[in-house]
Amino acid sequence: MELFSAQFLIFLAAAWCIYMVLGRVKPGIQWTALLAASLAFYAIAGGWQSLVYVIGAATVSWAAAVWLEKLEGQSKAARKAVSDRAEKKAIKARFTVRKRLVLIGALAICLGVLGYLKYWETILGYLMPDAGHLGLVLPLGISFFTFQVTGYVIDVYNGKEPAERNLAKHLLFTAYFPQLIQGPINKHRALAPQLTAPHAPDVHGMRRGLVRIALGLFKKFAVAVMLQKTVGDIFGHVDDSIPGALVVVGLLAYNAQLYGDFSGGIDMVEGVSELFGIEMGPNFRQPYFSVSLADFWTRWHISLGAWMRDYVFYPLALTKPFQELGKKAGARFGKHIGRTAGACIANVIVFLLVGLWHGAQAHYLVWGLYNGVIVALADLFKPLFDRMAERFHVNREGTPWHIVAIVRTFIVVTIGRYFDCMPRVGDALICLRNTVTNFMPVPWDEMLLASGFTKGLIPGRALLCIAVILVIDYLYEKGVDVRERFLALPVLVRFAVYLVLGFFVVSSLNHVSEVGGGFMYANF
Amino acid sequence: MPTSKLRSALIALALIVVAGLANLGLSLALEPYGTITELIWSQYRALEQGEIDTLCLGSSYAHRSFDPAAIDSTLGSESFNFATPAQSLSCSYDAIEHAIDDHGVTRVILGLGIETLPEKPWINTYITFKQAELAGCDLADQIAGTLAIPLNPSFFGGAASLGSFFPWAYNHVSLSPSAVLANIQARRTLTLEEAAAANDPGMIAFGRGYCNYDTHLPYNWTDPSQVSANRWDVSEPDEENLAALQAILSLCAERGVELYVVVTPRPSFEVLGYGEVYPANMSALQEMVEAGGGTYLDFNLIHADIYAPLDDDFGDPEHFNPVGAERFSKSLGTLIARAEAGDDIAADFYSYGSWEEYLASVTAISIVNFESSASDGMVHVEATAYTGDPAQVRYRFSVIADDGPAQLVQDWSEQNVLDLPCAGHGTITVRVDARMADSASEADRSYQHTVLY
Repeated sequence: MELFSAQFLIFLAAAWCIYMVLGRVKPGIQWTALLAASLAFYAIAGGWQSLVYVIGAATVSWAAAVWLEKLEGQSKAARKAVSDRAEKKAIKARFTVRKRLVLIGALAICLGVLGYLKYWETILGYLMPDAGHLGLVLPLGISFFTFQVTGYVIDVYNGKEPAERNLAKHLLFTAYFPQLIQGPINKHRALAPQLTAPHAPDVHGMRRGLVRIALGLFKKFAVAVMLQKTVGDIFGHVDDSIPGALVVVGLLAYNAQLYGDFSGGIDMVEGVSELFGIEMGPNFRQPYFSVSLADFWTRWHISLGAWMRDYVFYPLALTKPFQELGKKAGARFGKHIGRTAGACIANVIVFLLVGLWHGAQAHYLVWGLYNGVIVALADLFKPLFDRMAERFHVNREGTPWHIVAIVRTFIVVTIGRYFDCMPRVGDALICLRNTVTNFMPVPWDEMLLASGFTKGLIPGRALLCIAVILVIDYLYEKGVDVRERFLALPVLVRFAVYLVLGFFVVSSLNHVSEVGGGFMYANF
Repeated sequence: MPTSKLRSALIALALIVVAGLANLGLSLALEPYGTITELIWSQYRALEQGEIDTLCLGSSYAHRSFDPAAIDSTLGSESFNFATPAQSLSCSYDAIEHAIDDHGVTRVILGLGIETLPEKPWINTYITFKQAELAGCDLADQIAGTLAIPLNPSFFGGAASLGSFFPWAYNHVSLSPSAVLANIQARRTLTLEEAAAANDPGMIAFGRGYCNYDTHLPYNWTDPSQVSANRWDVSEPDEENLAALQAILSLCAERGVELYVVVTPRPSFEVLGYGEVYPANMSALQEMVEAGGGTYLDFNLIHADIYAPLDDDFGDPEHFNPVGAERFSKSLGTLIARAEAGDDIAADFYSYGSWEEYLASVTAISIVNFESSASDGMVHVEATAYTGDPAQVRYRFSVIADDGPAQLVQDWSEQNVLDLPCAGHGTITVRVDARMADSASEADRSYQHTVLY
């Protein structure tokens, strides 16, 4: 079931009607309609076998959280019963070990299932290239809901939030249907209370949701779908002969395709959620206006970045070995290095994990490593860059430098894309080399013909639509609430905008038949 | 209802109507008037009740293979070619049902290829078929039929389901103002036949649903991307197609209609390209057809003394030209007549179980072409000659200079690969000639292509 389909439209209309009617008749159990809809969606879109995984992940994380809270309660009660401080400490230590075991058990089960389904086939391929395929199928959204529930269990372990006692409510948090296809990875404390709170139809919120869905459709169909074939054709067969000019065009197209596909899909599911009065966490914030790679990662796939920050980066950076490393580095190389050394290594590890989250293939790991190393180096050499800027009298507050920083970041991100979009590291290295040494071996037209492109590379109207998205992102970057402004426009103007954007969406549908209508991040 | 809400509702309703009218306007302006499918449906509707007894149908494989006049001349039938471009099996079912109800046809000839079952139905041709079908219905049926398109199981869960409300997105004339204006003008002034002829000047309409193109397959210029085995994924049959074929078998069995499922002939490279997949897939299809009471005829496997297509019979790798279709249709009619007279025609075909016998019968090279790659300063060229016994093929490689002359780089040998040192980067034109070991020709087939290095 694709998001833009009659099946989803009928499903959504039915789910919304039942949810709102139940909210009016019996607000206390309104959320059960959402749970039923979510399970139905998962069964239809992912197959009923996949339902086992989402219910399994929900049950394990629910039981672990309840158990952790119970252990914490027992620990408190036992400590209250004694007066000796040493004994209190011993009791706490005893219960901490038990809690840790529960946490490790829950994480091992949830991440173990994810790891087996997502990575085992690839690892086996590396270890035994001649072995046949196991035929493992990745259940829809497993990377997203697994990270969501593990984050929740860790938060309960750390006492940051109470455990949910109701398994059905926790199942809804795990399986809430708009987030299942490609996230975002929501925080329990932000999403769960909204899911179980009663909601009445909110016309303004729904209008905002509809505008967001429309924008998502535009990004997905008028841009991503229109560029999909070009990217596939350019990188479908890479060898020493691929001209650098073709690679650069392919990478620029891939940048736009990926952004249109992922952020467009997120806009659609966030908009769908807003129809129910539920706001999910943000996942994008104008990433192509970033001024550094670190900044980029606070704007692109925000929910994954936040998960990594909260559950990997901070726990790692605050461990004893990292603290000691900082002290030693500080003593030897100075204060700045001392302060950043631990964080730099933690960053490299985090980005390696981000790469691994996308897949166990070597190119994802190299891509993750590249991002981690660049972020770490930028941090390490910050004083040097500051001194250079001072020496050359660069005004880093001015608009020209801001533009330079945006362009520089875009180039750095795009270099990383060599490893992201090509399935083999060797292909990426060939493309990198040819970008420098074999940019345009023969005239452009001849090159296109010899490469099999008889009808040009990028459809002109896709470029126009990219420009529209850039303008919208620019307005958001300037602090304009574009949706609110749009809704305040006269009805005829809005209607005209819908007609024009709708034309671009509809006229791309013929390409969907060719390239398919699924989302790239649904594969993760 | 408060006045402001009523006003908003009325405005919304008015805008929806305007959007609907805009969509209708775009359909009239952009959807080509006078498609082959429309033409065939109009010719079908013009038939007198009971005028035909044999219905030929399927996708373009069938459309450009079945010449009704030629079939009738040998079979003594009254046939109509109801095949349309990329016709899905569910559309074929609808067409058969119409023909049984309208004309009481007693014989159905369904043409297909190895790609028919695996290939998912295409929304563009499905819409065209349904629009042409609904054009003869009253308004209520037209609305019901249009609303049923998105509910078709093949499209229901995908973008095509909603896209079907915007048919111009899938089928449109060239988006230049002159083409759009000409299309609008054609709707006003031309008949369907005139518009079809204007749309597609190369098309020859022979009547009784049949039309074709007088083109000829250039055997020396067929590159790897044109070989069907390199274009279509035939690993899995589509569930909806299987269900539709089963429904056709059941319908024909229930209504006492003789069903012939005919695999239309192709140049031998088209069959050889699929390798062992061909007998594996097609034997499953044969089993299904015969279990359902149909007669299965794979004309790619017919013995050459009964029928053998000539090189010149094909318009492209998948279709006949008119001359080829006429020769084939006469042969088909003769064979069906023999079968209906009680002859055992099964012995006229190679069986999928004895695939080696079929391969041994393909003694000529159908085409030759090559794939290339570049690495470490070398261009690697690997040629493929399509014939029953590749061991009998000899290859010769040349490099063609910009000003024309060919420079021999590897003389005749069994070697089908060439590693050509190329310093730096640029393009190079390579030619491969192929001939059978016992051939008297200078070259049986050739291919040349410019590659990047």
